This record gives sequence, structure tokens and C-alpha cells, in this order.
Amino acid sequence: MNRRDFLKTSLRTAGSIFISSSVFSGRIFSAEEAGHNYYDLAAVRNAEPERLFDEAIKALGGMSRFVKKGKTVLIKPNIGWNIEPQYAATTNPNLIKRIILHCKEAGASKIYVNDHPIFDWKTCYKISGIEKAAKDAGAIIVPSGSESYYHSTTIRRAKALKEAKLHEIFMSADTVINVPVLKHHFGSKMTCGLKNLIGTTWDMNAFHSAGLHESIADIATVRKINLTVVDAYCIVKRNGPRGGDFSDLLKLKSLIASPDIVAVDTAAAKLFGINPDAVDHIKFAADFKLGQSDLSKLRIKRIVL
Amino acid sequence: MKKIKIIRIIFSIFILALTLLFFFHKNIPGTAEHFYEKAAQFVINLQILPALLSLAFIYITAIVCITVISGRVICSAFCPLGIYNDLISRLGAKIRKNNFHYNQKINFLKYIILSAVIILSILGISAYTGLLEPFSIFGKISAYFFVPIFSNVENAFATVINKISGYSISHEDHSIDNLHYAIGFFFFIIITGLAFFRGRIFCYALCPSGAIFSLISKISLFNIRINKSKCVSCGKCESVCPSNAITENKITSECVLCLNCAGTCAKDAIKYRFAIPQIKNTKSSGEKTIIEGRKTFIKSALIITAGILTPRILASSGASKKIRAVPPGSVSIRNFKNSCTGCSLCVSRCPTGVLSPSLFENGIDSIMQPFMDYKKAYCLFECTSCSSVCPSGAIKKLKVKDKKSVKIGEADFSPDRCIVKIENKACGACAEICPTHAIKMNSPLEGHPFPFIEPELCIGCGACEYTCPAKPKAFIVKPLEIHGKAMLSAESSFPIEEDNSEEFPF
Repeated sequence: MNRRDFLKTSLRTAGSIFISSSVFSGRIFSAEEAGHNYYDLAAVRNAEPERLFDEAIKALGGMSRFVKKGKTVLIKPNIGWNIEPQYAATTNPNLIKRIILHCKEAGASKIYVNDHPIFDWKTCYKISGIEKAAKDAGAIIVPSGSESYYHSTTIRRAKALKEAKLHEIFMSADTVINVPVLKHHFGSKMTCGLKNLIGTTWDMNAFHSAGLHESIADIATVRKINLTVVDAYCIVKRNGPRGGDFSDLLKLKSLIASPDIVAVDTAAAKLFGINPDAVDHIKFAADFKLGQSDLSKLRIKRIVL
Repeated sequence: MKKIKIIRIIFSIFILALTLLFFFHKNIPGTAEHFYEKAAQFVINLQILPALLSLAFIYITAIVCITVISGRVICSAFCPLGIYNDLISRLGAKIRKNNFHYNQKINFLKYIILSAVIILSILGISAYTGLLEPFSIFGKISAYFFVPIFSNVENAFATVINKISGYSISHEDHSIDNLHYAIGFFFFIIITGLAFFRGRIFCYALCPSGAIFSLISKISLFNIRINKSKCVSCGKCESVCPSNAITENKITSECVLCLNCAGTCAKDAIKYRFAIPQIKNTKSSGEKTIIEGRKTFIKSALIITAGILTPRILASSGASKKIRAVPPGSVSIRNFKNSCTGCSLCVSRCPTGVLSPSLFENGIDSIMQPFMDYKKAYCLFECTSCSSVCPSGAIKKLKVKDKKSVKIGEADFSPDRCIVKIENKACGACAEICPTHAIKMNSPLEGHPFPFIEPELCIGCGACEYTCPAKPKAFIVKPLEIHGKAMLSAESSFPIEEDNSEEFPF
């Protein structure tokens, strides 16, 4: 090994150590974006879902900040139920469509859409309107009806869920955009960005037996979630997560987006009307240093249209 | 005639493929019925024994009319097992150079089986009918043997395709366990072996539906007939007849119109043509055989009846009779047992896989009739696929709207098993999944919300039992002997509330 090689190798090693340490400390974008003036979190209200997202992503620095040219993207909506989109138990299909179009514009090579519904996946994809929206926009629907798509993965930092079967696309996509819909939930009090990640696993019942809140935080440590977009256009206020009754709904016409999943859930909890400290999985995720639960430390762009 | 024969074969292969395809694909609730599904359903409804069991008068009339007018077309072109037998027997003839010889005695066996089937139906033990009836046998082979193979092949294919084009075909897991795979294989081997070595012996010697068709086709207007003035008695037609239907220049009612004879006759003496049927008295062949036949008939019928009654008596004398839930539309467990022949079409079409094949789990008298296995899955709220496909009337037709309130069981909640209570963990999986909102969570001031159930809303779909993480399960569905009607959860007609505030709470 000559001197030049040695220098190269040591530089590379130092670089990778720096990158990996920054990933694990949760300071994900600091290195490459030090020079930019992006907001950490954008909250928009009083418009249709498409417009809400356009404004939010502009404030966060555009989709190209998250999606690089030629890379693959996984969009992870909530398609948990076989119920029509107007009941808001699943992510708004128009929003999904808009996000896909933004990804395309940013030059993504392949855009995947996947969730593991509680009911038969084909039915849920269809009834929720997300299959049509995604296909119209040119995304690839990723099936979730077979265990063969889910591979056993050890979760190193887990406190409750030491091992889980995770969908291959969740593990292999270059960018993950998490698009939950904000809802009440009997078990976890509310369901938003962190809770939505349950849909990347095969055995969803394991969460309940291992400890729901702990497991939700555990699963968020598996990989970087590049962007979380909360669909709060219409929320299920009571009897969630399925709802199914218009009297349970509240039209907020809002959207929150941020690369910081903990911040997004904290803000969403406040929007939902509960104290974020009372939602255990947000606390556990903050303990993992997955993000900032103190909103006063963040640069927030609030847009009222 | 050769051309017609080829058209006949191609058409029957098409019908067989159609039926198989119907088995291979699960129903997707909420999607419009595909044209092939309607066509396959029509073919399945033309199966005579299931039609008789379900008292589907339109189809029974149609079947009888078709046979009276045109002979046993149903056997050669619309019975999937018959078509399968035909193809394998053709293969056997090619490979083994099978030569068939007429054997009168064996033709009689199917009438004994038919009478056994009639006794079974009167007694209400259709499960055993299903072990003899052609469509049920075909269903068992398809659902338990072909479907798993097809699913594995499709998945392997999907893996290759997905490497190239990314998720254009989806993997689907089948839910057939090894035991039923073996049962399917057992039927497959028997049927294939019989057909390969002995032609359509199932159709002319064993098939109870064949017995019915054989009786009706005696008066068919159009049928295969030999022109005696042209025939030179070379015997070629007899040697190629897989149905044991040609003897002494005469075609018996075992003929299923496979047209092999017409294709092989050098003198062009055999034609499918119109004639007013004449029922001849065949006393010339000797009264002795008839009397002997009657004796065997009575003896065999008695033996078979006794053999069939034994399990029934055993089952009713069994001490602990554990009942299992049967799908919505069955009306009662009794009706389901009386009518289901275990063709397993519903098992193949069930999107969640809750309808599971059984062996003796539900009692000896309901061998291989499916049941709702809530350990594996649960009944989808918006789905009526089993009731829409059942050909035998075991699961009666239901509209989705009506199905939602059919109560097939009732969930029983044991609070002492619930993990919220035992392990002090947040859960609520049951309330989350319950489609009728029968399970609700209370909101205590301290601690985690705890489930409770409103039994009058419960339909017994088993979602709570399936999803409950507690071991043993805190929710167990108790099946109902006679299905009831659940109350519909009141849907309020309030408009959606709106919040147009211009501020954020953070």
C-alpha cells in the first residue's frame, strides 16, 4: 500500500464513520444541508390535499431534497382498511397521487406504494382508492399478501420487538416517504407516523403481544424514514382506527410534513387535541433519539391558506 | 365426424380450463364479477347432483332438457371430471394402446351407487355423497392438490418476472395443509389411474350422476346411432369406446358422446343423428341376468346403506359433540350438513382462507365439509364469495347488505385472559378489527382502555378471536346451531364536522 492509497482508505473510513454516526444520532440532514435554510417542519391548513402538499414540500425545500435522481422511492400510506376514502380511515388517494407526481418530477427511477392492510390486501388497495391513484400517477403497487415478501430482521436497538419480518421493499428502497392519516386509535391513543410503520411488517399481532407502544418505537429504528407527511385533511376523532361513521370525523383540512418523524407525531398529537407526552410511543421514539419532541427547538413553517 | 370430434375435445378442454381457473383464483370482494367467473359458475351450476341438492329447478330443468334433446352432452363437455377422465383416457389409449371390451355387468354398479346417494340425501348426510359425486371429487382434487401446485408455480413464476419488471404479478400464499394436500393427491391418483388404465370407468361404472344421465339419455332425441345397413361388424368402434357403451352393433345409454367411434368407423356407419327413441324390452338377453342383477342390487344397496349409517349412528352417539361455525348463508349447521358435498369450491374462493377443509373435525357424518377456522383467519364483513359460488345449496345466496347482519356465532369475552388486564399492556386489537363495533373500549381515567362487548351487535365473524394476542385467546366465538340476525350498529346521519380555524395548536 502506497501513501496515496493509504490516504484514500483512511479518508473513506473517516467519511463512513461520520455518515453512520450522523445517521444513528438522528442528525440526518445536517451535513449536506448545512448551507440551506430549510424549515424542519411545515404545517399547512385550509386547502385541498394537493395544494396542502405543494405548499408543505416547498417550505421543506422541494422533493429533490429527499428524492435523488435515479433512486427508488417507497411511499407508505395507511391502507389498513377496506373502507371507502370518504371515511378517512385510509390515506387520501389524491394526496398519494400528488406525492407520486412530485417524486417523478424529482427524477425517481421507481416509485413503489405498499402497505400491509389488516384485511385482504387486494380489497383494501382497491376500495381505499389508492390502487387507482397510484397506478394513474405511474407508481408500482407492491403486493403484501404473501409471507415470502417479508424477511426476518433483527432489530438491534429494540426494547420489546427484537425481531420482525419486514417487507423487502421497505428495506431496499432508497427513500421512504411515510404518509399516515391522523386517527384516533383504541390501543395506541392515536395513530400517525410512527404507528403507520407497523404496516411494513408481516405479523402485526406481534406488536400487541410484545407491548404496543414499545414495539412501535422499535420498528422506527430499523431504517431512516426520509419524510413523513401527515394527512390530516379529515381525521377520525373517535372510534378509531376504523371509524366508518361520518359523525366520528372532523375535517381539519390540514397537513404536516417533516423529515423528523418524532416532531411530526408530536405536532400531530397537538393537532389531534391530546398531550404528546401521554402518547407513550412518541416518548419512546424520542428516547431513541429518532427526532425532536420539543417543537420549540425546531424551525416551523406555518401556512394558513 | 372427425372434425366435430376435434371441436368437441377443444371445447371441453376450454371448459375444464375455465373451471380450474375459477378454483385457482380467490374472490376479491368489492370487484365486479369477471366474465370468465360467470361462465365458470354457469358450468358448475350444470352439475346435476349439486343442482338436485339445492333444488335449483331452473338448472334441473335445463339439464334434463339438454339431455333429452341432445344426449349426454353434459358428461362430455360440461362435467370437469368427465373431461379430465376423457383426456387421461385418451393419453392412456395413446401410450398403452388400450383396447376396450364391452362388459355389461359393471355398468350396473353405478345404479347401486346412485341409490346409495339417494338414501344418503334423504338421511341428510351429503358429505358422503361428495365422496362419490363427480364435481365434488373434481373439487377436492382441484382445491387440495392442483391449487397448491398452481400457487407454487405461480409464485416461482412471479419471482422471476418480478426480477425483470418489478411486482407485476403478486405472490399469494395458499392455505392448504399437508394432510389435505395428501387427500387431494389420493383422489388425483385414483381418478387418473382408473382413467389411464380403464378409460372412462368412473363415468360408466361409478358415477351417480352418470347413472341419472344414463337413464335420461335412453329417450334422447339426438344421439350416436349405428346405421345397421352400412355396418360390417368389424368391432373397431367397441375397441375405441372408453365408455363401455358399444356392444353387438348397438350403442347403450353409457355413451357420453365422445365421438371416438364415429371418428374411427371406416364405413362411416356411426352418426350423431335424430331418431325417435324406442325403449325395447331386453328380455331376450335372459330374465336370469335381470333377477341376478336385482339380487346384487338389493344386497349392495343394503351393505352401502349400513356402511353409511354406521358413522351417522356413531356421530350421534358421540358424547362430546363440538360444533364448528359454518359460513353465513348456511342458515343452520343442520342445513349445511345436509347439503354440503365438500366440493371445496368455497374454500378455494374464500379471500381470507377462513373457510378451511376438514376431515373428521366436525363429526364423522360431515367428513371433508369445510368450516370456519378462526385460528387461521376470519370472515370478511363485505364478502359473500362462498354463498355466491356454492352449487349445492349448503350456503344459500346472500346479498352483501343482508350478509352483514347474519349472525353465525357470538364472541365470548373472558376478561381474565385479556393482556390489558394480565400484563397491563395497551392493546385494543379486538375493538380495532371488529367490523360491527360490537367490541368497544372503555376509557378509564387511569391505565389502558379495556374492551367490552355488546353481544346483540356481534355477527360471529371471528375477527376478534383471530386477532387477539392473548394466549389462550380472550375472545372465542361460540357458533350458533341456527343462524340468527344481529342488530345493525346505528349509523348516525350527522354531517362531517368542520374546523376552519386559522391557527395551529403548536
